Amino acid sequence: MMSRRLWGLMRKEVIQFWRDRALMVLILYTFVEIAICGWALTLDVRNMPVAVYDGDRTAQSRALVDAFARLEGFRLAAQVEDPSDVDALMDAGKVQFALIVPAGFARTLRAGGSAQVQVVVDGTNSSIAGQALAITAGLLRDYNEQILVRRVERVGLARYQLVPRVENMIRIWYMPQLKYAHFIMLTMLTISVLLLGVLVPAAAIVREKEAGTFEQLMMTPITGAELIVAKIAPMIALKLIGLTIGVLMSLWLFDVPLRGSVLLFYAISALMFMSSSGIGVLLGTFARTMQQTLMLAFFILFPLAFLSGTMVPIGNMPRLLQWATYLSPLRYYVEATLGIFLKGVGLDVLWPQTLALAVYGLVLLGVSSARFRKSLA
Amino acid sequence: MSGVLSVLKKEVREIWRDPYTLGLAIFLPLVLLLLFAYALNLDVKNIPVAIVDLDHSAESRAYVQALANTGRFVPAYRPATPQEAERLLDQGKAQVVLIIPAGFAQALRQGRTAQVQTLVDGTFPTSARVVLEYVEAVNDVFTARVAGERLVTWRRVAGNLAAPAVAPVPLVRYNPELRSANFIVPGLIVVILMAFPPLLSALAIVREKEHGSIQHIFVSPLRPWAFIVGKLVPYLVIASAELLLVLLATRYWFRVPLQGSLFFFLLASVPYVVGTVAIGLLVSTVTSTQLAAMLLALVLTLMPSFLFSGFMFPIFTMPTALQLYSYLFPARYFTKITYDIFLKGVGPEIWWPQLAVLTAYTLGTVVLASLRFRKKVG
Repeated sequence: MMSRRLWGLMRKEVIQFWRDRALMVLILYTFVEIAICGWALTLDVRNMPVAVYDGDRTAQSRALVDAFARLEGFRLAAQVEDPSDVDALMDAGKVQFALIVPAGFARTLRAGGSAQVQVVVDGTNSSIAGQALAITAGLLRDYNEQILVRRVERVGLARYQLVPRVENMIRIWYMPQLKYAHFIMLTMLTISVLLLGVLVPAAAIVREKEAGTFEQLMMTPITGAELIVAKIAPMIALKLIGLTIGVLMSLWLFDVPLRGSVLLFYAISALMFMSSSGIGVLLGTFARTMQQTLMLAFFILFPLAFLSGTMVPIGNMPRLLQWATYLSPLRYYVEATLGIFLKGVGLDVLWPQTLALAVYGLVLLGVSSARFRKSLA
Repeated sequence: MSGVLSVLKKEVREIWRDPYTLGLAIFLPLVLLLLFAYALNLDVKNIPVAIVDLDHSAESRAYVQALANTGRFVPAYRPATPQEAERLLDQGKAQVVLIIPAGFAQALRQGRTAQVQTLVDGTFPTSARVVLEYVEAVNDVFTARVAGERLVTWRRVAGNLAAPAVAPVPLVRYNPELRSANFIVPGLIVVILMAFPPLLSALAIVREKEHGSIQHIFVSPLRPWAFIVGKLVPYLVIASAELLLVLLATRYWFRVPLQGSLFFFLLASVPYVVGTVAIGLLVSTVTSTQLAAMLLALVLTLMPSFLFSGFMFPIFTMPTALQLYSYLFPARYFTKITYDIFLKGVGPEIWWPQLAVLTAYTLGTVVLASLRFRKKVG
């Protein structure tokens, strides 16, 4: 009996949903946008326009300048004749980084001294600037190491081996190539899940409120919980299709590794859809007009999205905001997604996240169906 | 002209009737600015490290101390075995694992090469890269110190071998302390202005379509442009209020330096603010439901202004096709102007092309919105 009622309601929702083609296209587009992001966006130094000034014009200085310009992530944009040209180029935004080798560079090196070079960086984007400085430091480290070996040999210290040294064997885990594309594909996927999960149900409820059809539904014997299930289920189906498109694109187009269990990922995604729909329904019970829904949605979505470790690592935030991240379901979902795809961990590690999402979803859906009738009464 | 006024009056009354939305529209941007500026911190510091010291010597403790002295790493965990440390990495509790094997101190004392092992969590590549650099720098400094003691005895013959052959002297321009907020907060002005005004104005016309009251406009003698302008102005006032609030917070709360002229910044923000509202109206003329309008506004304004404006992700790192794509969105031009004025302190001779494009863009959008609207009338 109850299932027939539910079935009828779901049919109504599917038909209504189907009529708004623009909406469907936009939902699918959101997942396509992920592909664009994976392809295009990076927080890494890539293709950075650099300028060089070689005031020494010796074989040694040319070698250093060449090695600098060929560094991965840099693109030689200008070779200036006067060091002050660097300032003008940087003001105009034409170069972001510059290496200035002063005259006398080779002479100092031959004399066994310590030669100074200047690196000028556009600090506007502090993250990129810091990375560029790190890349240059790495180059100079290798360069200095070679010179040191030569110097030691030159003075006949064959016993260089006897100098105590520490060798650091560094291994990068989970993503040895440090591909930002993998990271952003996965995090954008999680953000899309949250965004659509909250917006679509909230809007669907407010639309009925605005159209005045809610009162009609309320006169029928349908319960609040049934109504919520009927509203959410078809949307979750569509969103799971979108999610699958996103996952397939990540795997095939971007070679994102999937080291853990797909089944676990979908199970956790379903929990995430439940939690985010819970937020959406709750929103829908508060708002009276679409405009209010929007404002409220953004008021909630932005913090949820940012306090999750998608844009910046949670460890970078002030302590207070770090605590606040525990309130964002996206935090758990992001940890689970990165864990399953990149780390290949299973439920034995991810059970706290799974549990948190389940509790979050159940509480929210419970509260929102309780508020449901009241909001109309 | 009286047509414009009556549309304007009606729209103001409608906004006024919903003070809830109005209040949110004006204060939400401020709240978000505060939140994001703190949350979007890309500085790499306080990295939790799990340390497995199997050597238990003065030397191994000195190595750990050298790591902690950078101020970037916090020795947060001291698991007994490498397996436990790896689990901490799996759980995401530690981002770096340092393993100092037994025999570390002995090797150093005998003048041999001692080995340590570092595991870095590469999940967030941007931080991982900087972490790598610090880890290597710490190792260098430590090696130079232990080697230095021995090299001192040879200095007579070899000169100062401990000093680096080439020493870089870094000069950081525009943002000398590399302060993340100086770059995040002005960028957020651009994003927040692109986020809220268009979302409000996108519903302005489509709402009347859904309610059917648009028919009254169709049969009235009102000119399309008068209707558009009348709808535009109230949202423009809201958007300007948002701009001023956000600007005050930038200067007096976050203390972001304003190197250039405030007058120029306000001047350049006029076409941008008008543009944000106009884009919303354009969206409103092409969609038929409020939900679709809001999603389209989102796709056209918020996402590109965040992703393709050069704010978080520098434009030069994008593939060429996407660099061209980014020209389609006004946020790109205004981001450049904002950074030019706030951080670089350069004048119009540098950013006039961006301002010109922005102005043309805004005028074009208003005209297009009027044209689109006329078509619907006919």
